[in-house]
Amino acid sequence: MKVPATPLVLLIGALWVAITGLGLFGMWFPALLLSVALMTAHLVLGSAHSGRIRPGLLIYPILTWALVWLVSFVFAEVFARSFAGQEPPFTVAGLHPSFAWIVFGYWLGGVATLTIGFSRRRKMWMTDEQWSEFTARIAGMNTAREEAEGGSDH
Amino acid sequence: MDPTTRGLIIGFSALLISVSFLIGLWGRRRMTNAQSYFGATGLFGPLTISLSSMAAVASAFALVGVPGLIYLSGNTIVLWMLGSPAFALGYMMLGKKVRAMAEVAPIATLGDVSDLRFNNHRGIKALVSVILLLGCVAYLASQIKAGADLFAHLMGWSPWTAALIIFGILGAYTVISGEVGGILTQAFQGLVMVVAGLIMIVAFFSMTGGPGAVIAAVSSAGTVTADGVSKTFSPDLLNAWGTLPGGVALAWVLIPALGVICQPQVLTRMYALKDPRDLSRLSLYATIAHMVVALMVVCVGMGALYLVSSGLVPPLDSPDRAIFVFADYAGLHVQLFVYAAVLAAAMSTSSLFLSLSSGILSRDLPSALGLRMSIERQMTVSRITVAVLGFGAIWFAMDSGRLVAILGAFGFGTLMSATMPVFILGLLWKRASSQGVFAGLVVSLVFNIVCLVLDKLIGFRWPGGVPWYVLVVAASSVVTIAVSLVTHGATGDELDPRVGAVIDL
Repeated sequence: MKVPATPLVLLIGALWVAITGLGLFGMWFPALLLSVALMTAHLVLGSAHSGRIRPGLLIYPILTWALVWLVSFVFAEVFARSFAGQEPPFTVAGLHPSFAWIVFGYWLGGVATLTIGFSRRRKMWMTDEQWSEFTARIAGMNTAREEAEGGSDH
Repeated sequence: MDPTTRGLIIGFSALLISVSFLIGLWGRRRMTNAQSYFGATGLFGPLTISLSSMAAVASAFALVGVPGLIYLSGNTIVLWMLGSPAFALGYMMLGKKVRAMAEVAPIATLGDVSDLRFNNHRGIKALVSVILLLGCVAYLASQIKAGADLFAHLMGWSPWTAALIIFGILGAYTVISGEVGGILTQAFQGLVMVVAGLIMIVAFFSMTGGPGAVIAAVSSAGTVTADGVSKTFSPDLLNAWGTLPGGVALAWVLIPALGVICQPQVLTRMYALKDPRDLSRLSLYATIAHMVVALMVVCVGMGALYLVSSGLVPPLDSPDRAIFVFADYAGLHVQLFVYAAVLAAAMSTSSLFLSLSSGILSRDLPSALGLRMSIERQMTVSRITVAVLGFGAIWFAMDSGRLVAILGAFGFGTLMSATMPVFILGLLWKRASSQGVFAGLVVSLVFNIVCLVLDKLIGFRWPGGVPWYVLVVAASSVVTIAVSLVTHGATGDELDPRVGAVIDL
């Protein structure tokens, strides 16, 4: 799948403006949700190879992780508002219901999707062949530069 | 604290310092050239790098300040601590690009990466060096102050004596073995923090019975007063966002998630990795180590809330005492590891920032100013700089209390605002121009100083409770992008084709 770098970077700039603007106007929760989009844009840009990303890598871990974080934030906010100023009528593994979404979604869910997913899909992110090709290409370029510099010395 | 306990803690801490020194000496054997001295380039495997990166990220503030903040304002700061997936996010985003730069040319410092990407642009190198130096010295002084105050209190010494002994030894092994010794000792100190973390997590569950008991005690405690100190409890302390403004919750999710990879202690470790194909393992190990330390500080903060809300200990006169109150209540085995963990955190972060600062002062800044030195001379100057800077930082930390506190604000966000334009946008986007990045850095430097003055001296607060460093990072990124769209330095035909290959990787 093609990753157009400049439009994605423009989106990153627009998201920074939107996030800080919303935050300054007290709309921190929509800004928080947009911040996941900001992180995802960076992640897609950095995971691409020659302007393309493997759909499998995009779906898992990248979009799966983003979805887990978005769902966790939404439910954390729902339960935080529902039980504001009072002892919650139930807990999840001993945790405040809203905080449970942070622990099991944001933290453990984030690790289970992004960290584990990165390990499982490492070859989609960068194959051994891509690295070998890259180092060979750089070695060739460096040799050519040295020869050119040597030639110009003479 | 009884004399036996005090003696055991001192002995345990002395052992930690001694082993760190010996590891530093041993590390000298692997130091063969400038790249290994300044950057340990391509020398270590993922386990060593992961423990070292985690230890350098988890400063004394994480161990002492975070439990204090949990005690004070609940779970807001927990959002920051539980941002463990940030390591995977960062390594996926940038890992292969930074590591690949070390294949293009000899890379020893972040300034070398900047030179390669932006065709030796002196302004970029000078500005990024100055901003990083500002953040490094602030971090260094605050670590020295935290470590010296703690051990002066424990041993009955003056803070000056404690600082000179602990950080003098640290400076000695950094002079001898450079970044090689730094990474090895930080990995050992990271291991100590992980072991301490496991012990404190077990202690929390055996002391409280689990988080259910904490929420019950906190919800019903109301206001507790003893010895003239009061603490008011609310169930909202333990909800998802804590009791600080929502703008802070936003910042404490966003900044660590994108900012961990922007920290020089993580960036420089990427080119220290021997095989870039190990980046996913590095991410996994760093995440696991971070999870243990994060859970430790969350447990300690909640433990302190439990102890006070249950009436088992009186309200704390200073929130920063939370970790020590927890340890004292838990018993000797926890006390031994708590003090060792705080010392390890202070030492690992200090040694990183000491070697980074010396690299900037002896290599990057002189080169940005047009001064050329041989590699041997750079290493000699760096060693002298480590010694001078080490003692200077001790003096500054001990003698300028208020200034240290003010500059302590130049932390995570300041470093992020400097590295974001150069290394994130610069290595992800071929159209990031030298003019754009330079403009982003100017904005970063000016806004950091202006916002610091507004925040610390005038007491100005931004609407929505948004911390100032979020605005600085946003402004530097947006300006970099906007100016890059209309300028072309170090892009297109001016982009080194080898760097183009790195960005494509």
